[in-house]
Amino acid sequence: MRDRPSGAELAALADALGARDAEAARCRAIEARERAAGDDAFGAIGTGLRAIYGEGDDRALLTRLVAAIRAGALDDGAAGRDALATLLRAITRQKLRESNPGYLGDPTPP
Amino acid sequence: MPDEQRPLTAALSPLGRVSDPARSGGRVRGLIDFIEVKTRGSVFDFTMTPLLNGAVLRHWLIEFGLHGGRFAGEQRWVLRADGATPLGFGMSRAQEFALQRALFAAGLRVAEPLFMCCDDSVIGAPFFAMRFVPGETDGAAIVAAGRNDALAAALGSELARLHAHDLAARLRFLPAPPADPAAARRAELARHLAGDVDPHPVAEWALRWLERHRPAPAQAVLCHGDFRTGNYLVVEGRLAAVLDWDFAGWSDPDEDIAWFCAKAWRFGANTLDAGGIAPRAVFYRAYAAAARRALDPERIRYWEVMAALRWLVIALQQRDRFLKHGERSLDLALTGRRVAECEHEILALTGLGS
Repeated sequence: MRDRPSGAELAALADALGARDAEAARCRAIEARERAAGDDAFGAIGTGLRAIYGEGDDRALLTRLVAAIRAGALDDGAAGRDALATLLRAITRQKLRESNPGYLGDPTPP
Repeated sequence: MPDEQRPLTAALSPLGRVSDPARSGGRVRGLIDFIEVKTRGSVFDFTMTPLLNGAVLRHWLIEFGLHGGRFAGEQRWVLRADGATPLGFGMSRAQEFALQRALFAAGLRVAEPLFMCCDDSVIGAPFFAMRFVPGETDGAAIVAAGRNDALAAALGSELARLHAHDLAARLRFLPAPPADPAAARRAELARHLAGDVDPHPVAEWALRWLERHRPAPAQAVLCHGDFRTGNYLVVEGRLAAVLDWDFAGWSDPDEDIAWFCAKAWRFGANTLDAGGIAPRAVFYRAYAAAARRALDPERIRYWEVMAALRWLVIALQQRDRFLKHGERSLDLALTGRRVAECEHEILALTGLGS
């Protein structure tokens, strides 16, 4: 569920360029945060999506979620709207915790 | 390819400042020849310095003297050229040059455009030259200077002046004004998202929300398209010029207002909604007074959702310049990771935030 480029891709680019500036530090910090969070960082979200859309990998689950939203699953009054909104918030917040925790008010540098 | 024949746009950045045309071979000689033909003068003491480049286009400061011709004397110009990978939208340099000429002639605060060069062989890409305007453009630095109500008011007034100008006759190269600017912009973003390889649920929600909350169509006016902190020049706290017109086109004037106030362009000064430099009421008041129309906060909120979605799409495109087109840039790669910021803002603006 993470956005690309992955932390590993970012750190590899910084290394390949031999960069040591603030952007390079940010690339390496993202990679470190993703590594620390591990593969299970989105585990609870995946469980929640599977409970609604059945089995499948992350891409399949998100694709079904997109189709459901297109069909009105998040519209006012739609059944299960709150649960879906909670999952969307959770996905976004976890991505921000790894990409830019400062955006959420987390002082973790950089 | 011999060094002197390599395109200047690809070769110049590693060179840094170029001050000896003879030593740098034909790359700079071609540019000097171009200047001499256009000005009918003779160039001396030529230097060329790469400027901090935007994410899409490239810029250089050239400084030189001219003997003879109508530009005789010391000159400081900026060259604005295409980047390595086009974004897929935005106008050509020739169109931007024509637009900037029309705006300058109309008395708007833009750098004076001087010459257009469509010949790729001169520096490796089409470019135009404009007069250098000194000042600060770095958004973070402008915001760090603190609250500046006068600057926000000047920007509001300037934007209203832009929206009020009828330049249609001089800008026939622009796509025709859309009957419904919101529907047109939403459709454009939907097309881009449909072409992306990854599923984006929050972006899909934004498209849905934008369709279901679409306001009554506004009369399309000439909009800047990227009117924000970072795209204007500030000298001693005052507005010197508005830059970067390559996204200009016909749209709802509230799109420019919302883009200026979008969270992405506050550079962390989130309590100062108007570009990180002032409360939005200051900007709104100046705009409304100059435009002689009241602003509707709900319409602007609509366009702020559009702005967040548009920035999300741009972030995906910048990501692709790294992932698909091989541009080894940390800035482009990191921009791809800003998608989540746009998603967070979309959820907040549409009532689904925490």
